[in-house]
Amino acid sequence: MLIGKNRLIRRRVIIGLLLAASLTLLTLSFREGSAGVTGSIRRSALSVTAPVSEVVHRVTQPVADAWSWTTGLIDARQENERLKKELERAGATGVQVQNLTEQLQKDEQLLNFVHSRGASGFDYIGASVIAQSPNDYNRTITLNVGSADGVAVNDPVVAPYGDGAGLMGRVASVTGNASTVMLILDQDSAVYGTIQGATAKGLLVPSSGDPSLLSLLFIGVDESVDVGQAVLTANYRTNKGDALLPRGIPIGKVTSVNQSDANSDKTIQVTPFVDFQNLTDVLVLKDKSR
Amino acid sequence: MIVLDALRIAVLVFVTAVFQVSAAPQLTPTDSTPDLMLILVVALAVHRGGETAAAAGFAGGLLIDSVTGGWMGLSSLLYVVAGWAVGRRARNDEDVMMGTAGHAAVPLRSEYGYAVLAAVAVQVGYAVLQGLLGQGLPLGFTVDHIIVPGVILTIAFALPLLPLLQRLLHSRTRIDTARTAPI
Repeated sequence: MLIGKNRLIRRRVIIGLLLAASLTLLTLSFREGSAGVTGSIRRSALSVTAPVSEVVHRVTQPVADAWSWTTGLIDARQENERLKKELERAGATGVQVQNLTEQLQKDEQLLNFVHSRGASGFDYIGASVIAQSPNDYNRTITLNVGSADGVAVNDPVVAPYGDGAGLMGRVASVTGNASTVMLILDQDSAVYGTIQGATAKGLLVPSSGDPSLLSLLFIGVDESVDVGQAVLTANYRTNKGDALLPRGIPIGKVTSVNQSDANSDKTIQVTPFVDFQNLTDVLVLKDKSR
Repeated sequence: MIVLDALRIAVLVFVTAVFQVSAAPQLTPTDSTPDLMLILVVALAVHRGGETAAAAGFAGGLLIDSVTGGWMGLSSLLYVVAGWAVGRRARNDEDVMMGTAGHAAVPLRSEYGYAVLAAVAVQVGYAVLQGLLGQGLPLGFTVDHIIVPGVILTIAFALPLLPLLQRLLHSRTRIDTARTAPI
């Protein structure tokens, strides 16, 4: 009876301590952000998990590619019966060829970006995505490069898009061998952008209605903005201490423009160019003057 | 023996956390991912008791929040509550079964039931706490893009994983003399 009572007390104490520890960490995280104790825990955990994450990511990548290939095959079936048969015959070779082609295409896109004049004055660090947040509340990814490779907090990160690359986010925290990137769709993200061919600059933040889209704020009603126009990075700092983004990196395209008499600014919705569901290889930009 | 078991659970927690952030996002077609850690917590709650599940959930949640840049302690809090609640429920069900069927093994279908309830509770709890912390998303988006796909994916992954975890964890029966005194 006494032993049973002791166990009961011990059980309550364990659960109580765990709940108290969780709440304490939550409070510290809320107050300190990525600094202080929580920042140290975060960096330590990232250092420990990054090598394993990279291995797991590499191991599961072919499965993901095979899945992607299979879904592509289903689409091909619907569109073209002959293509379906060819792809089926190709079998495993088809998956490999598809993977290599996609990889080559992404590398070419990033190479085009490096050779373009859009981000002159910056060095480039190639990186692979090894982990990402499991939900839409925090939009972050983890890269396999860290401070040992020259990556620093606030460095902009771009991902393949079109013939080059589009802005994906900026480095939020870094350890020796890994770094966490806050995507431009994260609720804490804010980036200055400009409409291509116009002078007006606005602040791009995740749309409150649909967090997979962006809203361009502070564009006056007298500015001329059309649906389909591209939005590029502006050479502005959002916060003191932020790295200066290279001018002219594509961010997205305007998909809707609204204005009302009650508001002095237009309501502009922007769809990002980068496919955030399929992030594998990216470039971290490093200011040469730093 | 106990040390080896603790080590095995620690490895399971670490591997599950790594898989949840690095493999699961690749293997699912939506933004949402299955809550692999919750599946482990449910299995531990049934086979090792609520305290072990809560401790494992705390460590696993901390690891996931640290790597993904989320609010630290948020996932831990939810997993601790889920582990404790499922453990307590499983204990009560075992007591009932002991009285009626003469044995105290929770059937797999009950584990699935716990997993479904825990998945819904954790997803809703996560959404509510995110809202309270000022990072809530629109309700429609939260339900359509996070809660519903998250629960469905968790259940889908629980179907093969729970029997696997049952095999991994069944070797040690719970030592418990306070079965009739739930906390």
